[in-house]
Amino acid sequence: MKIIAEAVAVLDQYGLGNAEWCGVDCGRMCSKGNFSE
Amino acid sequence: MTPRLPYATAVCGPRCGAEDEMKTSLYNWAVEDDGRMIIFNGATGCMAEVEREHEDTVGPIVAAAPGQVVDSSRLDPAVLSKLAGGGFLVPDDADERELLRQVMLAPRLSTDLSYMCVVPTTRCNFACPYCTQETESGEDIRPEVEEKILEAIGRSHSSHLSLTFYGGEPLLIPETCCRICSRAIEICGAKDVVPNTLLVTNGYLLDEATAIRLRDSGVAHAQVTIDGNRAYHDGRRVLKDGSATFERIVRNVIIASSHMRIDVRMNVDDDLHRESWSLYDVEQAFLRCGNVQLHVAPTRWRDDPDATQNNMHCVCHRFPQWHFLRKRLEAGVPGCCAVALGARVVLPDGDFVLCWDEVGTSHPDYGSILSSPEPDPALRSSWMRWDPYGEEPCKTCRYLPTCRGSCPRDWLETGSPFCEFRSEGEYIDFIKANYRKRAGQEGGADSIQPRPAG
Repeated sequence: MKIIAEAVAVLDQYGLGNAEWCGVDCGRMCSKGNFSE
Repeated sequence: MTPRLPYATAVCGPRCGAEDEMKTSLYNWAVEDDGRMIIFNGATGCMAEVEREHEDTVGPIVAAAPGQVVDSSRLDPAVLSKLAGGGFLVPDDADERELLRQVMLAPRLSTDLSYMCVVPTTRCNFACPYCTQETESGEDIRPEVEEKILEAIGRSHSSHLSLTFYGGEPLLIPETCCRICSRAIEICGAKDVVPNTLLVTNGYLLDEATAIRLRDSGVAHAQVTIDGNRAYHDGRRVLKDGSATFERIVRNVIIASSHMRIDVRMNVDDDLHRESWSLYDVEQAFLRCGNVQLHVAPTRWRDDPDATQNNMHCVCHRFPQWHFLRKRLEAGVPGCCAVALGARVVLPDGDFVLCWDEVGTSHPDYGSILSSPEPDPALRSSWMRWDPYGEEPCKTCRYLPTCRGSCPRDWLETGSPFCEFRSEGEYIDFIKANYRKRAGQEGGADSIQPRPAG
């Protein structure tokens, strides 16, 4: 298997310090770096 | 042997080991693209090409019914390792949906993540047809409300604060925005908290002097709305007297982007922005502005939910380069300020609302910051119960980690979610488009094309 996109461990991504308010687009919450996808 | 791998470990902890039974994930997809088998997991975002020699073993596993226990003893250990590591196989007793639900709820319930949206004025200089705000009767923030907002920020124990200025048009009173922001930063600084700051503006008054004043006051980021090419934009985002605004906004954004980061939100309508070139002028205008980022969003017609839902669909499928093609494919955090305990939206008279779209409308009486630091908890609870991982039709939807349940208000008002994907075929198109983008194939272009000649 050739990995095209790596898996993200959801708990790693969602550690509380890793979530933030991106604010853009009516006050949406996102993970750091997850906006403007 | 079942390997110890990140996703499985995240689900069941260190006891994951050789003795564990494995089952298929709820969010597996196997699609064929140009003769290749592509597999994708919507929870972890893992995407892989399957070599022909493994298609007969991997294909049936990934395409099997969700939650089906598999006999992994016949799999190549290297392939098994990758399937488990990608989240395609999970321990038999893992509850993926509940895990995703818990991590969705964690930041929403956390009071360590604080969000303050200040509406310094409900007046506006524009007359956009889709706006529901009563800007003619708008007012500016009262001094005692400003003090209460700063007092609330000072009393907060959160280690993260996001401060947003919304309107009306906040740049009708730029000095007020600057004053509130600089005082908030000063208060936070005493607690070693550095707030994220954002100002949402139509951009008409965002000239260079204003951008510099904002920046110097700590407003590091602005969102400006442009509704597509000049003809589309000037057809509806006009001043109160009907004057066009496109040229001045574009000029302002280019100059202001030397001083602050700017997101340009392009509102699109299914029946207006029929072709991808309807946004071409905007993309070209900011091509060399490294500090400007474009994104597409559906125009929200509050009195016409069907139109809003069609617009959301239009965003996903007609302008894939800004929405459909994603830098990150794993499950996202669904949520907005209306469904989080640490969030507040404060109007100029001190009244709270929970959702930005309630600003300038007749809204429930959530209370006032003049009498309480938080909105009415009972009314907030009705929003907090929004739980796409816990309620149908989203609960069992296999697109949910990707679409994130969409807008809570749409669901609460209409009784059903506004779906990004209307069919399995559309979700498969999403997988293929992102595969091609990553594999550098045709269809993965970053830029839209200009209007055809003639």
